[in-house]
Amino acid sequence: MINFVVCVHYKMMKKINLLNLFSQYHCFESIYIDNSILIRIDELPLFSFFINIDFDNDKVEDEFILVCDDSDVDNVLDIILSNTSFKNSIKVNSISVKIQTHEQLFYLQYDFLRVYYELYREIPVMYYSSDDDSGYCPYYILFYTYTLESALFNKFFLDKLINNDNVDTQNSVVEEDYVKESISVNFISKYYEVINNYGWQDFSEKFDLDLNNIKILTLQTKVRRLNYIKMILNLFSKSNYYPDNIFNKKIEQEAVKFNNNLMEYINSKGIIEITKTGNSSKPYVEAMISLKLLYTQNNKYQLSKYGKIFNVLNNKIEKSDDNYFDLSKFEKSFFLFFILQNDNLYLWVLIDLIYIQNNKTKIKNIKEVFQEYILNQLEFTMKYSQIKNQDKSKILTQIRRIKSWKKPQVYLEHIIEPRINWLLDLDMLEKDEFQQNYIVLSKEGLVFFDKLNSYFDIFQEKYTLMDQLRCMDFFSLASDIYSINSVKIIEDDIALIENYINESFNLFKTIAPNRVTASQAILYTCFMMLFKEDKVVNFCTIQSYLKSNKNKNFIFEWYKTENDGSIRRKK
Amino acid sequence: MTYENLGLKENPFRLTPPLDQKEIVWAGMAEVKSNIEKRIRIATLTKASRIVLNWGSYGSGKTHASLYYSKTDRLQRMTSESGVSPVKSIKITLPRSSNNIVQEFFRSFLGQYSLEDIFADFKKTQAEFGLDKLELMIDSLSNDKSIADVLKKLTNIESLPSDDFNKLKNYIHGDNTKATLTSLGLPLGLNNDEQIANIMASIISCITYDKKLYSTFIIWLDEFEDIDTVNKNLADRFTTFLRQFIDKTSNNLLLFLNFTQKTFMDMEDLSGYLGDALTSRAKAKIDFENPTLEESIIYIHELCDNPLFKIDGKDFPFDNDETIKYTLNHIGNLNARKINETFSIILEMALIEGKNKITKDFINEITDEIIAWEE
Repeated sequence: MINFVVCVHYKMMKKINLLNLFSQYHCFESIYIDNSILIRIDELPLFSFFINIDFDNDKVEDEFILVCDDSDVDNVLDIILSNTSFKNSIKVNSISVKIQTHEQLFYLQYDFLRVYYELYREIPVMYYSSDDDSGYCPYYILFYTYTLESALFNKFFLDKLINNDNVDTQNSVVEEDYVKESISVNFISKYYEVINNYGWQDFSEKFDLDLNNIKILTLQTKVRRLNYIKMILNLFSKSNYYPDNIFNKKIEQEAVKFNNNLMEYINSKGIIEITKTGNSSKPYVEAMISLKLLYTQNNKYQLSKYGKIFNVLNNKIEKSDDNYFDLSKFEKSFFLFFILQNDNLYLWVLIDLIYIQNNKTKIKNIKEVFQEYILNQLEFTMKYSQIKNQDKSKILTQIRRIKSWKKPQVYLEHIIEPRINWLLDLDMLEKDEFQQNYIVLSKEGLVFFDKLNSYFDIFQEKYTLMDQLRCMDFFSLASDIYSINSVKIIEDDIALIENYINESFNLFKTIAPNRVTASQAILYTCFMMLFKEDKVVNFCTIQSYLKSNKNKNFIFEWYKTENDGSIRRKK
Repeated sequence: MTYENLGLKENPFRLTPPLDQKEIVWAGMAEVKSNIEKRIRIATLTKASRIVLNWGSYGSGKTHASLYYSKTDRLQRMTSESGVSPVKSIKITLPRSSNNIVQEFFRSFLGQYSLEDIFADFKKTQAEFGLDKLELMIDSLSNDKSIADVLKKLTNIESLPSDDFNKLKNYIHGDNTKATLTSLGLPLGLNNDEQIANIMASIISCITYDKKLYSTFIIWLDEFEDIDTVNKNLADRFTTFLRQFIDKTSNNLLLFLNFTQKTFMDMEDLSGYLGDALTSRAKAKIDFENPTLEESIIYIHELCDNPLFKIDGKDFPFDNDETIKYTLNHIGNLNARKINETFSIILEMALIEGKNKITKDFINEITDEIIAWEE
């Protein structure tokens, strides 16, 4: 008997509560559309709340629809709350929150996630939705949508969402500044300028997006210091190759020379020590193979075409005198480029999670939500990405694998710790906080977070767009993240660019006559332009110049299958 | 319908190699031709084995060159001009579908130079040097007792047809059943990469001994760039085999490796696959460069003027070189294959439309049909 009463009471409470909740705010709109009440309140003008409802009684429902249709009703909420039969018969199924995209306010959705996480220690799943069912969807009416458990939605939550700007500590002021300031002036703004003129599909087509699949590096938890990667690459300036039976030991002997530097560095994890078996350096070598900086052939290790670029540039660009383990801006940019090439999922996810966890969190907290968040992100990609079906099936395999993790805490140690330390080496985290075991995005980290998610906001693709981002905007991005004082290139800079391409014919010479690998020549040019000439030029820009008939000096061929090409000088 | 109106017997721009060897013609590309022939001439006159790397982009004529110098009588004319013994030249495409890449390569070798031919050439060598000397040669050149035994078995066969010959043939093609081995008196089957290198090296060394029977043995290894499409172990295995084979054939071998200049995931180009041992032996590179506009025009003229295609007394199918130039300027980077594709379509369209002269206006009418056309 008592149970029964409680049950009824709960049901009553639930529906009345949720609807009453909104009546406490000033609704500038509450209308009935397709089984849902759309509510927008003054305090959160860019949020829309959709309350999906049913009626116990068909007759009451008909009556309600009649009332809604009958006149110019713009406040359905008042009508329901003032009518007892409506009130008693209404059933609330779910509530969703929609946040408008492309208002250059994408971080609103992250604010929402932050509040939600703070209250419930969970991160809700995101969908897209549109007001328009016709199939044609202009950018500006696409919404980020979250369906929430109605029981969790309460006044406390709403108030917190409304007051989010004010409740936070110093941190959020700093964040807001970076996020807003950078949006107005950087390369992202060029996309926002044109975005509203296009429908969704048209806009993507305009840029002829080349989508990549999700890529994940398999790492061992030890691989934490990017500086060792630099050290190993430098070993190849002494010898072109190393037989595989001595390579690991050779690295260990070299690493010992830098032990003192490592001890003075902010974090000494990931140290390479001398071992009998070479086991201490092995994980780094494996990581470098996955990063495509090294390759093995006929039982020896050699620098890959990309690894060679690093060594060539390293000789050309001045190094800092700081601790060996403090990477220069060039080194940070270089490693970021190749990490994003080969590991486009986890790094982005980590940055998102740090931000959602109020930009002050601990590895333990990240691990708590990591598996579920990754699965949501992969499912989101499956659902909305425009990648090929065969690529989607690979993601499906990935999802299955992650779902079947038997000891997530063990696996996560190999996923999270290395990448968090990479972020530290890349200057994306606050070093002082890190020493206190807190993970906080630094100014650089916030700019990176902002650019990645602006990109997502614009193109509606996340990890699958990473190669495109690297091609179209990486050097703009690096310049912004590391505050490199640089300017955009102008027409006259073509001479400079051609000059660097010409240099690359000698720097990257092989036995093939009159030929240089396109990726080497172009990347060399991009890095030299940024770090020697203080000018930003992106890979795609050079690529399309070489393809165009403005190019009179080189024969350029590009092979899609290898995602690379060759450049030859014209006779 | 025929090409008669255009003054041609047949469409000279072929997209696939002709079946009839007589139809393999060389047009344009004078520099490449001269470079190849210089290399061949040196090889016929000197002893040391060499590797020549043919570099070029897709469709630059590498495969065509290997066909021209292995199927036509060009080499015969060259050697009789310079008064040296003939050249044996074969073309092998890099095997890539098999799990046993070396065995597959050896089978392709035998496909081009059959055991019957080898037998006949051994007989000729025997006639030249005598059986004792040939057996001594085999012993010293094979470096391998069991391979020497196999080749001696071959020389001991009097004439064909012969049972032993058939068994030997099976054996060489990989048959290692006990019955075959016992009846031949051989201990083991021929399934080890090094032994295959040994047997190929011994055969080549014997038949080119003293440059008597043949002055040079040429192998054109086509599509070598596909080495990156076979799995890593097989690729390593094949390059190791190739190194052994070259090392063991120190005289009278000329190996042309055709490389398409594509790019790879890890390395810049194929240099990495060859390794130091092979690159240090690669004395020469021939660059199948993209033809310039002028060279392309010469190529088109030479091909259309070749007596194989041109009807005597008739005119060139194009009204003037401006029309050709106009077309070539609109198809991007030039290479032989693209020129063939483009001009083949143009001639075909002219045939369909019943034209007897190809003009710029006509080209403009059919730009949609031309795959490579760029505005």
